[in-house]
Amino acid sequence: MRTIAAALVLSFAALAHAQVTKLQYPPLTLTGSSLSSKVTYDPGTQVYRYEYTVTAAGANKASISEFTIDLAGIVSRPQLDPSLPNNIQREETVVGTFQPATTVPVGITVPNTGWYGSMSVKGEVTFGGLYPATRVAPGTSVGGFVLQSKQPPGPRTATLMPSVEVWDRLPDPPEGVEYEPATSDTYAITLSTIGPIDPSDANLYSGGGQQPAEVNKFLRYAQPLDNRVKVAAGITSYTVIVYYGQTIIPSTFSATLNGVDITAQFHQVPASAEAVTITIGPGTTKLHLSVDGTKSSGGKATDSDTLTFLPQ
Amino acid sequence: MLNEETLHVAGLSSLRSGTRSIERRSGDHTTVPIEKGSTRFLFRRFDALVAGRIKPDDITASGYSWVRYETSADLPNFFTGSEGNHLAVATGETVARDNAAVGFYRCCFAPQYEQVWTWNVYAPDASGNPTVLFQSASNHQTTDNFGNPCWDGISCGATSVDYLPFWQIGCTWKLGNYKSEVVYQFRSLQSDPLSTAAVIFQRTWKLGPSSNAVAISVDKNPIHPAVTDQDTGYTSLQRIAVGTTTVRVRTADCNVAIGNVAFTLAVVTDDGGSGHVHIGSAGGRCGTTAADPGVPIHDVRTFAGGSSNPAGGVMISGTTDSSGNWSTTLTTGTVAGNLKLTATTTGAFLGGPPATSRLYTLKVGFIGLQEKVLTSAETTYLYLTGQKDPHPFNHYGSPELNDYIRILGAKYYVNWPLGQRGQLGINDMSLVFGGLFDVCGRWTVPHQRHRGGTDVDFSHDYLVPGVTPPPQVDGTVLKRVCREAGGFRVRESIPSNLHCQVDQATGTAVFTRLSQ
Repeated sequence: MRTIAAALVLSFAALAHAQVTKLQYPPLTLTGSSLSSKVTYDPGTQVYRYEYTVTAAGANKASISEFTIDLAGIVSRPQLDPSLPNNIQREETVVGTFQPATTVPVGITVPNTGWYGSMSVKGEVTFGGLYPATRVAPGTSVGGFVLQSKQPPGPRTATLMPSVEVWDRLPDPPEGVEYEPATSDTYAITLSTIGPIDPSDANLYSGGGQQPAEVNKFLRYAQPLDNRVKVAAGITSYTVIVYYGQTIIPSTFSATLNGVDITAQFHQVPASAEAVTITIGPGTTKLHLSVDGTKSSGGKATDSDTLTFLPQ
Repeated sequence: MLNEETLHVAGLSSLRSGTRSIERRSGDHTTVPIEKGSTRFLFRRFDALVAGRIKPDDITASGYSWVRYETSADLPNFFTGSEGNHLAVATGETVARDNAAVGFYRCCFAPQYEQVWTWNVYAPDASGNPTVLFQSASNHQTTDNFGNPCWDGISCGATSVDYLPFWQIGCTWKLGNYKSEVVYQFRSLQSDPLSTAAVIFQRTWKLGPSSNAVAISVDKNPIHPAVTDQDTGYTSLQRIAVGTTTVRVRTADCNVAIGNVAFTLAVVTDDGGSGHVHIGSAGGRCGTTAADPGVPIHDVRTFAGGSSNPAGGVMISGTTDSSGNWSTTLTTGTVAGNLKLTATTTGAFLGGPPATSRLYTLKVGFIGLQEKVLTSAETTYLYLTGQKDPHPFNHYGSPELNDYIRILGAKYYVNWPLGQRGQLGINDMSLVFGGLFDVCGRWTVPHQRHRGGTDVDFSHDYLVPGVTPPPQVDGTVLKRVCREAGGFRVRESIPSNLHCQVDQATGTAVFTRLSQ
């Protein structure tokens, strides 16, 4: 016979806590900030140079203290390459390597000694401002962040993060008052940028059209990945990442944008890649690229691609 | 009725030094069972194991005691000469029926020409008085023609023998009042008459129910605490539901259920063992030196059937069913620690006084947290701090957190130029078994998190060799390396806290594992 049918509940936290006033941490908004990139290639060293500039929107509620660029790759390799220069003491030489072995190796250059660059356990490079004065204050820009890599460019994800100085300066609340837990990651903004990638057939687009396949690979693209590209309304530029085949004949290369010759904007070095930003819109924009190359049989052939940009 | 099946006698002898005796030894270190009538005697001879124990005058009552052996492993071992582990039974003491045996104990005796001991145990009669001779045994010593003592079942020559008669307790033994006594006769010379039998030792005692006649069992132990009052910080597992288990009380003795027994189940928290124990006081750290208000399960009045336990816990009344069973569901709160459960019958039990169960300890905690111990390499860039009352054991984390801290500390270190590199101070992580980490020992937040070994706080003091006062940790850089190391920095309720925790996937996996 049970005299107690109800469950016995032993509540360790059954104390009636006094009513607590909750405060919210102030916002650390970075909306409107941007990260621009510029990619160059040195045929002599076969090293790509990726230079970044961070621009903080004037309406930001905090400085930009750091930004990251995803460098995840697919090939395991040593993470330090002596031929890729650094102007910082790399953490790998002091405390160890923490990023995955498949991360794309890079050399890291920071604008000044107020910044440091390191690799995250997820294979991101992080540029971080060490001192409040060196971080990117609202309405300012800081450039001179450089990655050097033997890997060609491709689309990458960047994340801009806010400084938490504003929160660090808050006084501790009195008894009975507390802040709702928060993380500044909430205010991070994610952007598309360009960085080194491990290229493969899976992440390169041939542009379509030509046969045989080897001809179609004279010109390939890491961005876009289709010959019809929808772009958001109001977007006025687009960065095309072109991969040139090993056997192209550079002198035969031509590029037109809506029929206007823009060949001079390209630097068609065989077995290299480059990122070229073109103007698009307001209506449909057609970019036509063409190059001759030598087939494995010794004969010549032409690869011509037309990329169409469709503002939405 | 004499119960011969359960009588055992340990004969532990030593040989007297001397040529004559040595010549007589023929069975040293051998084991020979000898049947004497219907009572089994087992003996083993020892050369020197008990030498020096001869006490010629020690035949007084003070040399005897009535003892119990809790388990079979505690029994005397005839073959090794071990006297076992006995516990003396005081006059009037109750011996639980699940003890392995009861018996007499005495020390050494010098030989006389002849000695006779009779060991009697009287069971209760119909009136409850110990008058029924229930068990009996005797042993006997004489002297051979050479003057050597001869003990029952033992070759002549031993100068001292301990007899340790004991009886295994069985379910046929009647509960109630017992009496044990030793009757002794002797003569010093062959020409003397045997002395009048005299009771030289007597002990009255009681046989009670088995110590587990009122027994507590729990279906799942340990169980995890809840995280229901705060957010874990992991979006896919923001709260940890309460841990539950079934607590059972059974009343039975000798495998016979005893039904309809009313009892009180008392639950108190651990106050001196593992888990969440407050040590000392928070002192100035929390702005108060007031005494710990007590463990928080004291607030039980909101629960039907419960009442406040003066010991600081809860008391629940129940009655076993006709099969001797009762059960209920126990639900954990947010604090880790040991729950100590005892059930006591509210009235007479099996004709004796109220019976109390053995103490049952139920652990509430996140099991598997490991203390963060710094390797020599880690001491380059990390140090431990914050080991303060009332929680001096504040550095427990999941293996994932402990490794996260290693990476994080290394990363923070290498950010700074040479000469500015130092050690990051690891402050509070989690308690030994997790659960609410009430910094001030008053069962209130903060900490809001730090529940299951996924969180760590850092000291503001960054210890750089040769630099005083120590530089302060840069919160923004720390936030960055928290992220680089695979986690994230979080503000708890106090803005100045330098709090980081492992990433979403890892934290979710840790809590999932710990709350199985």
